[in-house]
Amino acid sequence: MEYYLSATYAKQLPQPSAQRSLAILSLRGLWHTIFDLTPLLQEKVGEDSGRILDPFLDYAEAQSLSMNWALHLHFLEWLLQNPEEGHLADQDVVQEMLTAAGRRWAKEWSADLGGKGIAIYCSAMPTLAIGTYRKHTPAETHFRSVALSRPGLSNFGFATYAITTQGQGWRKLSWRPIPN
Amino acid sequence: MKVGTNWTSASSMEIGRTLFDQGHTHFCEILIDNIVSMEIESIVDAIGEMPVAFHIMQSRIIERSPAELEALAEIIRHLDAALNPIYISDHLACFTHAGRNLPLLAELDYDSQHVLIHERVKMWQDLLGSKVYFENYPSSLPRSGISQPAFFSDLMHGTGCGILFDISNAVVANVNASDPLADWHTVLQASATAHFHIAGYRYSNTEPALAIDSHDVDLSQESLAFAQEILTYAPPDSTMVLERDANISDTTWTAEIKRLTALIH
Repeated sequence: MEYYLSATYAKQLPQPSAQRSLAILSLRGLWHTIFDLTPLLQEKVGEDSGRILDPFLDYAEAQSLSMNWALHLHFLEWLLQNPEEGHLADQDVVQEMLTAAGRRWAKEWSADLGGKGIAIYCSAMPTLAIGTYRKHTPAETHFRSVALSRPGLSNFGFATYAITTQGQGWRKLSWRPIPN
Repeated sequence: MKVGTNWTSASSMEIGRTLFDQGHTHFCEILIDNIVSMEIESIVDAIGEMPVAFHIMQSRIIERSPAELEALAEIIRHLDAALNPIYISDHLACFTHAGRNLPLLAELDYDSQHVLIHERVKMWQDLLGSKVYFENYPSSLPRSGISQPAFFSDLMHGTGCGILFDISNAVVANVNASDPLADWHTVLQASATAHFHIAGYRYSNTEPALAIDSHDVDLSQESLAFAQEILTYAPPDSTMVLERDANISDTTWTAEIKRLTALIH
């Protein structure tokens, strides 16, 4: 089922075939997973998103990335290391990517079960961490994100995250490496 | 037959609530994934007197460890006790490949995974302390081996689970995989199946086109015709949820509910 997750594999399927159609739909789904939450990046990339998405998906395949909520963080790290495309990830896009990862975490109900919110900190934006809350009541229409003051961390790699189990608090956080 | 809507977002909850208050529907089916982080009191307040059913999407019972399933089950048991649902329903599908999340679900291999599926269905029902109704799959590709109706018949006999029969999923599987609709009648009648889904699906703009269980368009004539056949033998206390996840408005959902209700009566 690699063709669900990689344009390189998808292109090896017979054309036309139902399997090829399914692979195309799956890759479109991945596009939406990434870009629906990052309109700034989408605008900067323009219509030819395949020039960065396709090689990133090959990288994700090689690294066996789980494609869970941390996907945007891995994508950001890969983008910043790309000599031709790294300029796309300015500070606004970095913040957007961290917020996107937080919102995906908030939606993945079984990630860190019992967690009320996630704080994400990244070396590409050293002044702030982004906190995102899960919904607490049915009336909430959107996930709420907040900018948190610099947590003053070091030696954590590209990005790190912490979970709060309290409704509002971001104190005494235990920072962890982001999942693969 | 009781007719319901599905609650997958704050806006669908609001419209579903209005349809219930106006007497067009009898209950609401809650997507459990969306409420597990919420305070139970706030959910009870939002629901009020409206009866509910539970629908689970991401339990991933085939793939998760027993410890993970126990943790999920504990939350759902609390919700079950607080909300007393008409039924608890879930999905059987492949969510990951080699530990990687798939953007689209894939169909399980009912032959090679037979033993595992039976074990996990039994385990999940034990953990939840409840019979679970599993939804039939909207197949995208033709398969060989055991048919889906035969698989579900065997699963129900072997585990005591039920089927949440999604009428339009069966139509989608018929379009994409040529699974005969008629094969379901014996299974549904023998099991006295009483819980149903129906939704709109669309065709992809790929070559070849595939039917996609999209929940964002009106019901097809094929789904309505198949529903009419099933309604001739569905038990009187059956339930039917008209699922809509996108392109939702008061008017479109109300009109579709009325179309469905006219069919039932």
